[in-house]
Amino acid sequence: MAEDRWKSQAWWKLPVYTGDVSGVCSALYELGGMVIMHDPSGCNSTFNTHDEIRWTQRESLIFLSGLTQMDAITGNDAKLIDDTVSAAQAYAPAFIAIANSPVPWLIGTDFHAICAKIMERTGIPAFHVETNAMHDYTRGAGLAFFNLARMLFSKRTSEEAPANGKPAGRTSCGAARNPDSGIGKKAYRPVRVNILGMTPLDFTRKGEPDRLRKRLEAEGFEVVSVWAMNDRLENLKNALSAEVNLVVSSTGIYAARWMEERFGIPYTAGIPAGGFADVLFRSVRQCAAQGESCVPYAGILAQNALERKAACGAGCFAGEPVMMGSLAAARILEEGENCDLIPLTETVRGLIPEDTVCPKGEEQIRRVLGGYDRVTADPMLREACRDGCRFEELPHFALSGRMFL
Amino acid sequence: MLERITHSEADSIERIPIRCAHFPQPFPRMLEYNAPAHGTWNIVHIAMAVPQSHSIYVCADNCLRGVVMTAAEMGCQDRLSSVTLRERDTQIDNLESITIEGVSEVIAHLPQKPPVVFVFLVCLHIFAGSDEDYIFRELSRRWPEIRFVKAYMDCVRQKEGPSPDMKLRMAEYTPIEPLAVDERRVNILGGDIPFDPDCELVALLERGGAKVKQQKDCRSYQEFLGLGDAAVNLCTYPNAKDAVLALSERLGRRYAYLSAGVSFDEIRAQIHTLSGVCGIEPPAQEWFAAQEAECEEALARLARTLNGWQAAVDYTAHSRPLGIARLLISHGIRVRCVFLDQILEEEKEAFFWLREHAPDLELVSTILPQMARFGRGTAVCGEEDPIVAFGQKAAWYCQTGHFVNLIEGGGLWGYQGIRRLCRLLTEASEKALDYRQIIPRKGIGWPSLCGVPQTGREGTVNSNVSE
Repeated sequence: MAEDRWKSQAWWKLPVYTGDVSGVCSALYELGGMVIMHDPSGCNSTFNTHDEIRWTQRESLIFLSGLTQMDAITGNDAKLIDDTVSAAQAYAPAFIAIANSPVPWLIGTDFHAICAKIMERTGIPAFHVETNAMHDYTRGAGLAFFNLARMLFSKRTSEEAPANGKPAGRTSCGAARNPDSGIGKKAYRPVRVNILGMTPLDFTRKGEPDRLRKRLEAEGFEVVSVWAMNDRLENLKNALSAEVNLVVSSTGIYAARWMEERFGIPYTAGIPAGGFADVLFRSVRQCAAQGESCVPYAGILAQNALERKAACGAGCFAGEPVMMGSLAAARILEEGENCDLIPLTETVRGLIPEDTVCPKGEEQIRRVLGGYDRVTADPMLREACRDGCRFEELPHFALSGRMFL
Repeated sequence: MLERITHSEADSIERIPIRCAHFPQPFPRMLEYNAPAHGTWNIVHIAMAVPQSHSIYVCADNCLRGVVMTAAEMGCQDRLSSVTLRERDTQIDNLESITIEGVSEVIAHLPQKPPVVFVFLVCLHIFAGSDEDYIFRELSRRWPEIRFVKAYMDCVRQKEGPSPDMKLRMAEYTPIEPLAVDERRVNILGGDIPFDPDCELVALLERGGAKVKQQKDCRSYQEFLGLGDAAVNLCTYPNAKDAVLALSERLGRRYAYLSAGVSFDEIRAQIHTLSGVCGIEPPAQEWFAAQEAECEEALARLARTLNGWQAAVDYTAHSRPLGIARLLISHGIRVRCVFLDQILEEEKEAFFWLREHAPDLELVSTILPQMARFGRGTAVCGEEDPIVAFGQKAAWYCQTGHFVNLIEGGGLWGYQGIRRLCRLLTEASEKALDYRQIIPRKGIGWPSLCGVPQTGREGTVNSNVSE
């Protein structure tokens, strides 16, 4: 229905999430590459003002092409190529990523050819991230990690993964199993894990990557790489030696799926939140042992929905599905409360239970959140809840930006 | 004897001595870097300066994010709405439908119907050849009680024509209709930072019997429309020059552009123009002489204060950065560099004066990619004498808290403007501000309800990862 579609695109008071172009920049920020936003103006300022907490403290080669109307009309891609080559010669980045905006998307700019030209002239790997500014950060950052993985590993074969794999046995999709992963007994060899999908857009608190890494190590896991905070590109190149990819936000799912399909590395999704943490750790071990991917919080949420009588729970967690799904699962396990996940970001496939309601646009968000007595979400969503609702604030940088720093 | 024919840093394109610079484009167009100094106004601020207005942006998510969060940080979330565009709007449907239906959907949900709505069209509308007249005709038919103003966030056109900022300034005055002329009424329009009552421009007018109004004096939309009764419209800000001229021509009113010049000759000329166009008696020669003597005294005091200092000026602080450099240098103050990306026509004379009299003065780009290496502990000006910066970008690139936190001229005008400039630079040299906390905030003059990221501090955002 056209009318419903129009409604889903109208926002009279609620903000939109960080966009896909900013998501690309956030994902690749710390890896020593150069990111070019092929855009006339504005994206760069929006990114560093509202979508990035590291800009004043940590240098990163993130630039705007300054596309003009005349260059777009005449197809003057040479300017983008020349300017990128010039900056690359000055800075010698580890790689070059080009994200695009609405006009280059509309006119069908051939970014693959542009990247090939840039690679030819600089010798630096260059790739395109297929954004067009019409999506949220989960898609942009997700595609950035996916394209980065392809850049690093597309010439590798599944036989090479895991590179230092000691255990025998592979799953049907080729993943190396770790029979000593600790399922049912204490592991004597740690399961090697990549953390996928970590950006300050979802993990804003200072020290969050180290906290997660330490938590996993304390549970007997070996963290191979963190995509991509507090880690180096050199380290990310070892990612195929991992037995499991732990997807900590939906921005990691595209890369995780690709690594599963290409190299047989299974993934599990979730963050170690409260009472859900043990479930997640078991899931990681199970993945390593059986080579099958799983999303454990989705199972808990689905079971909870099945067992209760009401169509919806008394409470919900609204926002990015991996984080909020994990928190919702923790509440179900800890408090026994009926609880739903309401995903508000767009990358959800395979990350949410079937039949999950995914509201689009302000009217639907208000209608859905208005049905709950208890809502946990970013403070800017309080506006969408009904009077008397018990609202628990959980600031999410990708929504409220600097408002609650 | 060999003579150097290149400047000292031959490979540097982002920092060049003025003797090597070309007018009006001293730097090549390349990739662009963006420094975290955001005190200047953007189109969100400009539209919201029209009382009771509501803004609706019809654009892609990523483009929308900046304006939505600008409004939220100002505490004006309820005055800005949006319609997000999807691929199918350009491929299967059309941008006219989503714009009309989306805007209507937004308006239907507003608790009160605003008297004026700015609808912002974007690059996609331009490239898809949208029928803009149809969009606005249809919106006006559906909501006859609302005045719709066509505005643009069409960044793709800004380097080859007026910027969205300039076009918005043009659009914001279109609802003003001619009213019965009050010969004593004078508007000062177009600038974002209002002039204080003690500013010479205002004081001279009021002394001459004029009733002065600025946009900030309008508390309601009706009062804003009341600006149509002025006999004279004045503008001091280059980006609004065409807008105020267009308003004056449409209403048939007198107009003058009184640029915020910083040389005595120019100020004299401006004051005579002001007197002529507003029909007030110009000050006597003695008054000019006294004012200039006071300025000379203030500049001499400043030169003594800044002995051992160097100064840096940026274009976001004032539309005459080269004029200010000239003023300071000609009064014995050492100016290390001027941050700008292009040179306005009205700065041409100052540019050539500086080329002749201060050939080693550095012009520094604010956006070339090479500038990414500065800031974050690395200053453009190295570890030499202490530096006082005039403007936020200068503060960032020079990494100094000794800075004047000013945008768009900050209401400096005339002789009094020069004296205030001296005072502000003196204060900046005496007291350092926490520029890392100040300059990332948007829109000086508006509330800033956000936090600013810092290192070495635990954020207040809860960690969801269990310890």
